[in-house]
Amino acid sequence: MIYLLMAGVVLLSFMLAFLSGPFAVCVSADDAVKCDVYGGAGVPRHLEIHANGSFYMLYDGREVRGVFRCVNCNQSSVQVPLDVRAVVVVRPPVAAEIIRVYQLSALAVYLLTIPLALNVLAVVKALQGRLYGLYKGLKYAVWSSFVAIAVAIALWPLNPASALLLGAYGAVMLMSAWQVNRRLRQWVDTLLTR
Amino acid sequence: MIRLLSLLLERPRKKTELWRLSRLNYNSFVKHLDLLVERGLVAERDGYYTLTDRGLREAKEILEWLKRTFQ
Repeated sequence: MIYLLMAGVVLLSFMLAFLSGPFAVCVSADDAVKCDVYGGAGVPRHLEIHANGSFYMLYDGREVRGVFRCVNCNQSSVQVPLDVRAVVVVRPPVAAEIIRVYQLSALAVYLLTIPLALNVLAVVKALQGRLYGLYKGLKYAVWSSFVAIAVAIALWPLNPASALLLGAYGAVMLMSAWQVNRRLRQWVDTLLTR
Repeated sequence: MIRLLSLLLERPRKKTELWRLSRLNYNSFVKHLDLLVERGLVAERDGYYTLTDRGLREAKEILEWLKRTFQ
């Protein structure tokens, strides 16, 4: 189980780094910058910004076209378009649609620090090699897997692949830790009733 | 219960020390300790609580099993 916990620490650290920090590979083409976005959750996967201020993006499976209408914009804010938190699509004459680029991503992704911390605690406790440490490690492992599954559910609409991976890890960890915990309780109960 | 066994596995302890380290409320602590004594896992000698031979054997078995399970 210690290896499963350590694998969890690596997996969760990787997911946290990957999902909280989207990065883009951009190519300048004629009058536009075309970017493919990797990592992150709830961010557009493809973004094109044209010199005339119009943009095109593929977000959550739908195509969005529009014109940037900046409020308090300066040149640098246009140069780092991936930092925008929301895009207002204006369709003349009056219709406007606000597309929140980040949605729940920040919260859902940073929630990953909870199972990560619990996993680290479980590993530390288990490595102490004391009876109570191992028992506490087991408890932390159960809680960590519960939180991992909960975060996977929250992450699902934003990044299904990562959510699936996290959910699978949480389920395996939960089954494993739960079984050990149950066996231990049975053992102690037998001791006290014999 | 596991915490009490773990603390006594390290060394014999006085009741007050055991209670303080157990982080249980006093009534709960006494209930658990009495049960361990009643089942012959713990005994009191010269004011110190210690694991009996059976208690020591069982606690070590649990410890070894948990270590194996974790590895």
